[in-house]
Amino acid sequence: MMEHLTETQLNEYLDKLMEATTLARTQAHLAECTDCREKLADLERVFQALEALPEEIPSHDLAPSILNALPRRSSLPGWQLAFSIQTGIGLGLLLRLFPLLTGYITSLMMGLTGQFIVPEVKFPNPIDLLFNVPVFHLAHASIPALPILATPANLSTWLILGIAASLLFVIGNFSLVFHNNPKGQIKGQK
Amino acid sequence: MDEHDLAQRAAQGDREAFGELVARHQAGVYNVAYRMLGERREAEDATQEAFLRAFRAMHTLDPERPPGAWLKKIAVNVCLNRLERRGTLTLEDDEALPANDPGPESQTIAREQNHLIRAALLSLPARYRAAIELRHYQELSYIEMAETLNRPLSDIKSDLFRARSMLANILRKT
Repeated sequence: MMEHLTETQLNEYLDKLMEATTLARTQAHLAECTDCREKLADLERVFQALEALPEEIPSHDLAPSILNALPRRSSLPGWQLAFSIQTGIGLGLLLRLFPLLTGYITSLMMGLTGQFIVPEVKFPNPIDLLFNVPVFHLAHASIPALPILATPANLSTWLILGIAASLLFVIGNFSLVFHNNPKGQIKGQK
Repeated sequence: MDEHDLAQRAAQGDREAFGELVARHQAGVYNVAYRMLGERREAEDATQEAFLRAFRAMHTLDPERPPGAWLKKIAVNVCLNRLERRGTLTLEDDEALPANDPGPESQTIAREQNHLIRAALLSLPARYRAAIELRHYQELSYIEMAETLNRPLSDIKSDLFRARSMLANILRKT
């Protein structure tokens, strides 16, 4: 007869985790060893007692309090936030570079290859920006449909920043709304 | 709507779908908390905390796995955190058996047995309770238990076997 079964062996036997050969050896030992059978019976009583424990019912429905405690809006997942920021920055840069590119394309079309026209970047006079520039644009209503392309670089910088910020805001909010309600269903808050 | 669809919608922030998951699984999660904590009020608080954690982590739920099992694992960890913050508790007073129970004898024996096993569970250290909960009630494998509790497999087996041995000693004395 082999040595007594260890605690691990007894537990693995009850958890049905033994391989066939080990299982056969263990069963053979149990058939002969009273001590090990008693230890096994003790453990079996634990299994039975745990299994017999009835399920309890909560004293009341917990769902309303749980739903009330949920945050009203979950935060944006990282990838959506990163996507919004990158899109905003990317579009801002694209718009910022557009006047440079159009200048370069114009140069190419005029046969002046190699000349890269860089608009002068200046911070505008605030009074000029707030008063003179809008008045100028209002007075010259025939400016192109995309005024940002026709404005000097210093003004376009501010316009581009404004547009980029607006795009970031719109995309960020759209992502948030989509994240919370992907199917666009309108539901009342409970 | 099946569990899979509900879990997907809840993961996308649909509160109505999450509410349905709460309705379906609150009893199961509550029972995990009650077995581990032994107090009805605290078990209800832990249930709420587990669902709030789950809501925030819904996007991490594997859509191929049943949400009920995932919720119960969260509940075990919530209870472990609570137990670590306080000492061991016994059964609350209103759970104690009345001296002259009016029910039939067999019912009384069953209630005594239930009371005994609950008290025995609550006498175990927190880690041992978690091991019993995950193995006997959630039927996880040793490896899944180790993953759930983020502990080495050898520690998990040691805790489980020790917990059973302690429970066997308590039952033997009765």
